[in-house]
Amino acid sequence: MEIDVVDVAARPRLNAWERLTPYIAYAALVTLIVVFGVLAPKLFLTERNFGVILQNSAVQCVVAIGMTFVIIIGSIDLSVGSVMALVGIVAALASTVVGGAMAFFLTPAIGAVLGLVNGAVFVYGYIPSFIVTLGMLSIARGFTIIVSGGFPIDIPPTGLFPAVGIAPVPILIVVGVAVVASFVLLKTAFGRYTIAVGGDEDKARMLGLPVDRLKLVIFTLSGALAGLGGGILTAEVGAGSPTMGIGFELTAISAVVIGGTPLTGGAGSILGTVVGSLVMSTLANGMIILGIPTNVQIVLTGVVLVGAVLLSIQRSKIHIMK
Amino acid sequence: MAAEDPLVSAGNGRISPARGGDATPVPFLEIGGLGKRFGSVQALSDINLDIYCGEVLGLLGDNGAGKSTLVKCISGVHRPTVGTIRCESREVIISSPVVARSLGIETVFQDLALIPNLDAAANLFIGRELSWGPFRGLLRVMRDRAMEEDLRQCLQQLDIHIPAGRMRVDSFSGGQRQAIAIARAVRWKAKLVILDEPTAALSVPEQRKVLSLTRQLASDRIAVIYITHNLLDVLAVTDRIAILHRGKKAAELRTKETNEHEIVSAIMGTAGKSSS
Repeated sequence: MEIDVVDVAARPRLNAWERLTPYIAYAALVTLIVVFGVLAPKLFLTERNFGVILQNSAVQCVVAIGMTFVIIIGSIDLSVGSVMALVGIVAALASTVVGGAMAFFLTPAIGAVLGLVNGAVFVYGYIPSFIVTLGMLSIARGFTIIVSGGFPIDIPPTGLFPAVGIAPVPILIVVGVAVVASFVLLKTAFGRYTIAVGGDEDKARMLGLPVDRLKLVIFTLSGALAGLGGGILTAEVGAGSPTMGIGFELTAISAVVIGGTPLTGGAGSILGTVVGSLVMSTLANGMIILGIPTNVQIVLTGVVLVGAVLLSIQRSKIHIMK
Repeated sequence: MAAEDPLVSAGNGRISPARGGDATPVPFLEIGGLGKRFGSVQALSDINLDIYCGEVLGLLGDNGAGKSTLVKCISGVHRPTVGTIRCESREVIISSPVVARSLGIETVFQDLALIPNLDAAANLFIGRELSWGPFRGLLRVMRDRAMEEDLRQCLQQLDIHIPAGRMRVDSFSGGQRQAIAIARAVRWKAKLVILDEPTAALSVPEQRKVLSLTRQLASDRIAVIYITHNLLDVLAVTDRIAILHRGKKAAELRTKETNEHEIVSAIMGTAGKSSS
């Protein structure tokens, strides 16, 4: 044990770089705008294009906000992309039965059920969230293809459901979700316990915090927001698609990590995730404008994810890397 | 009483508190015939011990003598195999740390049970946050300002100095964290505070601070169990000393009437064997 002198106040565990991580997102966003602005000023730096970036970031942002809570407790949800697709297909099918408006409002509920399954297997099965949600990634995708027969399913062309996908409605939904989520994280006992569980789960249990219930709620929330994201994306496209959301977990996790929430958990911010989502959609938009081939874009997305984790992970919290 | 052999009982007798003005004080906690067995290992057997408000009871013993097991039985971590615990004259079964806390028993563990990435105020109130508005349970809205003000008063009352602001507690020194854990016990009106090796990892001035905090708890009529290896601490801070040896109570002494030598021989289990 090291010995401390009584009046030496701070012995910060965070090094200088770790303290900078909350600001990476802002720096990255500014950098990307400058780079793309210089390389393609006429196409990139237009009001219309910024509108497109905002619109494209919306779904990503809704899903990433749910993911933020999951990552703060130190877990991961790999199933969000598949959950989006399954919810989109089910909602599209349901819209002919219960009507478009009802079908859209059902999307977070269907997602919540899938998220609750994730949470229950994770908590009561006592297996890593990474495996549980990797299984759900495959299970939900499989059901999506079975239910849809492998083809897109259209939603009614008029009414509330398709209207949800028209700008600026998705952006308004995101703003609403982000404000509520931020309040919950910063001001409620739920938010504080989320951070506490990410900091030291054993002690949280010892202090009598409802750790298991908290985990169930957080995975349900992540499922619900993935469902809502699937609903919005279905509305934007005008159909539920069996290939919707493939690889979406990668962009969502990247957005969260770039936003300053370390994969090691215990800290994080919703505003950071919102900016992180903007970074991801600006990157995607800029690459398209510069004419970078789609497959190269996929490669770069992976590089960005690993790079973001490299920069932001708190290695002091990890004792063994396997 | 004063003429009695200072080594009051080499076995299981009890002695009354060394301090306390009450004519016939009732113990806060009475432990009777307590035993704990882990499989084939008899960790504790036939422990009888009374703990009084306003008194610091030192709990000593070599490694493996059963100190931690005894404390864990009191704080709800372990269930005793046999024996009774009476709290304020009522027989109780302390089945979990939450039950212990509801009885007014707060344990300041060696690893302190502080959440490292939360600030001092959050740790003071963790699980019992002040809130307002219609929501209950997980969705209750916290009153951060009120909790910070409460922390400030609490620290002032105990004369604890930690840096202001919302610093995470893992950036505090060991003594500062110890102080926050003790402040939490006081804030929640603990009637019995168990301090487990509270000075083990501290610098000398910090040790002194923790010792004076311990005395302050006792003067606030709180019962304190003080577990330690440090004989100087024991002599400085306790009123009464219980010494465990191989799971049994080897001796119970009044601090004022004993000395290091006697304590050491009880710890070594040689008390009855030689007279010098």
